[in-house]
Formats: sequence, C-alpha cells, structure tokens
Amino acid sequence: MQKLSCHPQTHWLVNRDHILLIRPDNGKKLIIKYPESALWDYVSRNMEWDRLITLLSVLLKQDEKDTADWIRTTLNDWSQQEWLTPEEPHG
Amino acid sequence: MPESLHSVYVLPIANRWLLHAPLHGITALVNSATIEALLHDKALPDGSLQVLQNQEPPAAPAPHTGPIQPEFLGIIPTRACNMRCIYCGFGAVKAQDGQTLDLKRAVLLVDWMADWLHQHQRTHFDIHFFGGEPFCAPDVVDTVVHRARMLAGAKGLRLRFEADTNGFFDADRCRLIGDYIDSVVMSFDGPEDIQNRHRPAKNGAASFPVVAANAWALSRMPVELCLRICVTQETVGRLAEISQWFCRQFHPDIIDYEPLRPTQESQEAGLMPPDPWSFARSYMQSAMAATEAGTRTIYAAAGIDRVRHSFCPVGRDTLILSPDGRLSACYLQQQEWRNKGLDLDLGRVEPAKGVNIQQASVERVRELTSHAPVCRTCFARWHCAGGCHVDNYEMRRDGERTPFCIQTRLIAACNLLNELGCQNELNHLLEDREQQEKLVLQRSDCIDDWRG
Repeated sequence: MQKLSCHPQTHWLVNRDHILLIRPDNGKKLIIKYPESALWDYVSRNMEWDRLITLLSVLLKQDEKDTADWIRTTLNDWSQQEWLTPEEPHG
Repeated sequence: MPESLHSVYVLPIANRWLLHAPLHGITALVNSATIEALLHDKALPDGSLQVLQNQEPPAAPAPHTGPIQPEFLGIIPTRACNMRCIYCGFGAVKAQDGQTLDLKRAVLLVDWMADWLHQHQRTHFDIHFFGGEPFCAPDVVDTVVHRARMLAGAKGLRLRFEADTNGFFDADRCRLIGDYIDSVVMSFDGPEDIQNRHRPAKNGAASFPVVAANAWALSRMPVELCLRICVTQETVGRLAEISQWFCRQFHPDIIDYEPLRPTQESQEAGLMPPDPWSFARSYMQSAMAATEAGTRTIYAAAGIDRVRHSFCPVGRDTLILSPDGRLSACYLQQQEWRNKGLDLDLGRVEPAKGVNIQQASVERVRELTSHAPVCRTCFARWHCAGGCHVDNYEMRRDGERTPFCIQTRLIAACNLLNELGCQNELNHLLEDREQQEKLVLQRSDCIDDWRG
C-alpha cells in the first residue's frame, strides 16, 4: 500500500475517548472513536506497516489479514477525505 | 483514660506537646495541662479537642476483605533498561534486552480489569507502568494505552495512566506521554555532575542532555510532572540547591525525594544512603524552598494528608503484571522478596487460560499489612504504614527504630507543625538536634504512656 502521512494542514487533539481532527484551512472536523483512534495515533507517528498490523490485530483481537483489510479501508477513507496525503518519495 | 484516646499520640516540642490523633483527623500543639485533662476526662479549655474524649475515632484503615478488589493495575512492560544507573536494584542493568511482556497477556489483564470495574460499578480505571524502563517496550505501552482507552470509553470509566521512567527516550515517546499519560514520575538526580555520575546511559554516555530536554518538554505538556531524586550521602547536602534548580528549570508539579535503597550495586559503586537526621533536615529545607516556587514536595513515607494501612501497592489488592506473566502485589524483583522469605505473587496471566488469581495468595498478602509491634506506639503508623514491606522486613521482625523510622518520624512531625502553621516551633526543631532526638527516639508516643 502507498505510504500515507498526515496532510500538512491536518491538526488533531487527543481527548479522553476520541481524537478530533481539524483542517483550519477548510473548517472540516472529524471525531475519531476507537479503534480508528489507535490507527490514527500510529499513522501520525509514521509506524511501519508490519508493526501497525501486529499491534492492531492484538488490539482488535482479530487475525492479521482481517486487520490489514480494515486498515487499508480506513486509510483510504481518510486519504479521500484529505486527512492523509501520499508521502512524497525521498530524493 | 477514655477509650477514645487509644489512637492519640503526643510528641515533645520544646516545653509543649504535639498532639496527633490521625484517625480523628486532629492535630494540635498543647501544654501538659491539656494532656492531663484529656487523660482524666476533665473539662478542656479548647472545645475542638473534646471530640477526643467523647467520640470513638473512625475505624482504622485496613485491607479489603473477601474477593479481590484491585485498586489499580500495574504493568511492567520490561525489566530491561537503556540506562546503567550505578545504584539500580531493579535488575534492569542485568536484564536481557528483548524480555518484554507478551501483548496478548497485557490485553487479557486490561480486559479483565475493565470488566471487573464495570461489574462493580467503579468509575476510575488507574494503570501504572513500572520498569525496568517501560518505554523500552513501546509496543506494550502503546497496546495497553489504546486497549484501555477503547474499553474505558465503552464502559464509561475515567482512565488515568501513570508512568515511572528514567526520562531517557526519544521525541516519539515524549509525544506519546504528552498525549496519553496523565502523570510521569521521572527519575532525575540533579544537575549534570550528579545525574551523569549516578545515572549514565547503558553505553556509559552522559544521560543529562536527553533527560533534561525531556523534562523541559514535558513541563510544557498537559502532564503532571514529578521529578524523583535518589538522595545519597554525597548529595544530601545539595538538596536545597537541586530543588531550586529543578523549580527554575522545569517547574515540576512535584519533587519526590527518596533516600538511596542500599543494594549490592550501590555498595559496589561506593554510594551510601544519607544519614537519616541530615536527610530529614535537608528535606524540610528543600521542601520549604520548593513550596515557595509553587512545587509540591514528597517524602512518600511521611505524607500526613491521609491515613493508610499499607505504604505501597502491597495489601491493596493491586495486580502488577511482570514480563513473565506473573501477577504480583509488588513491582520489585521476585528474588528480592524471596530473599526475605516473602511470597508476593498473586496469580498468573496466560494467553491460553486467561487471568488466574489465587484468593489464598490475596489473603496471605493482605495479612502482611498488619503492623509490627514497633509501629503500634508510633504516631506515624497510619501515615508511613511501616514503609516498604521488603526493605523494612528486619524492622518488622526485630521491632527496632531504623534509619527509615528516624527520617520518617522527624519529617512527619515537621509536616504536622507546618500544617498547624507553627513555623517558629518548626524552625527551632530543625536547628536543635537534642530536641530532634528527644522526639524521634521517644519509646512510645501513645498518650497513655505519657509521663509529662
């Protein structure tokens, strides 16, 4: 899967049971509950794909294939909504 | 003597007496005539003390009874550490890197606790990370944090994370702490010369630049920051200087002062615990300086703000999960308590079998909090509660006043005077070693042993 990172205009706040995403440039907001909240935390810290799957499959108590599918779907949604953006290739 | 006086204590303060009734929640500086009146059930000049004559105190704090009622969860992600502190007695220096807690075990215990809290209509879910250095096992911390947040949100529990750390971590961990951890207890022994001597990195490099930078960063995040100083014979004379520097540089919420625990490692490094009289005096002077700067200070054994039956997690049904899957009441290494003939294990967490707690073990550990004879006549018995069950095992067995007793009794008495606003009496006590000895070495503080 293409490597994604936070859109440069995306800000976020960690609250007690959710994360709030904000785009000050266009006024959009999104409340992320669990388990998506954990995924956002990991992606925003640039966690490697394999580690992401391992940790989230333990967290969700489901096998790694289902977890990988869920991660792909969720990241695609966030990418389409422009909370995430494809990472620029280095060099 | 009225029955209600059985938990009332008196301490000599110059020509007066510090009366302390911890279970009634009453402290006063009184003269001999007042004590005579109390003992002989006569009219008292101060009406606020009459309650001591005619009201039994509330029940003394005691361990839970019946099925286990854990007050919080402890997680030891790893015994390994990225530092090589010269006095470390936690086995972190010798622990093999990679000895980390299995993630499934951690999740099983978090799930068990969340279910238990929900079933028992509890509102707070407290999780405390111990080490080793917990952030050396980042996957465990991440998993516990997110699993607990996920369940707490679903079950309406108010979650609180606390972490003990050496402060030697990267920016990623610093951000995680700022975002998710409520309270950080960072071991930090002072300015560069002390920190680098006591607490070098694993490869021998200086730890000060990283630890100081992280303390500074955390002081600007919404985290309760507690800086914990390990005080030695060498550094006890510099406590006030260290405290003032901490307050200036890092604005911590709390400074926690802990005298060095003598270990094989500390002896090999030539470090000695501070003299208890010097420690108590330096602590009080440092506490006053820190308080002026808006920082709270702690010497954990002499906290007078509450009464308790146990100093630590032991006897409070706390479940602490070790990397090998054991559930224990104590975060020290198993070998340490075994060396004293103690068994503080409570059960196990196994990926295939789940959480298994032995009720008989819970009962056995609760029994440990019944106080030693030497404590029964001490005014601080419900504040220090005998201190660490492992470190103070000899005191409990032999009934002697130890260095721990000396510093704890002196600081607790000073704290009581401070609370009463008796600054002159407090200052005189701190300057007068003879008066300190009279107070601290008094054989019994019980009012019925008072001889005027």
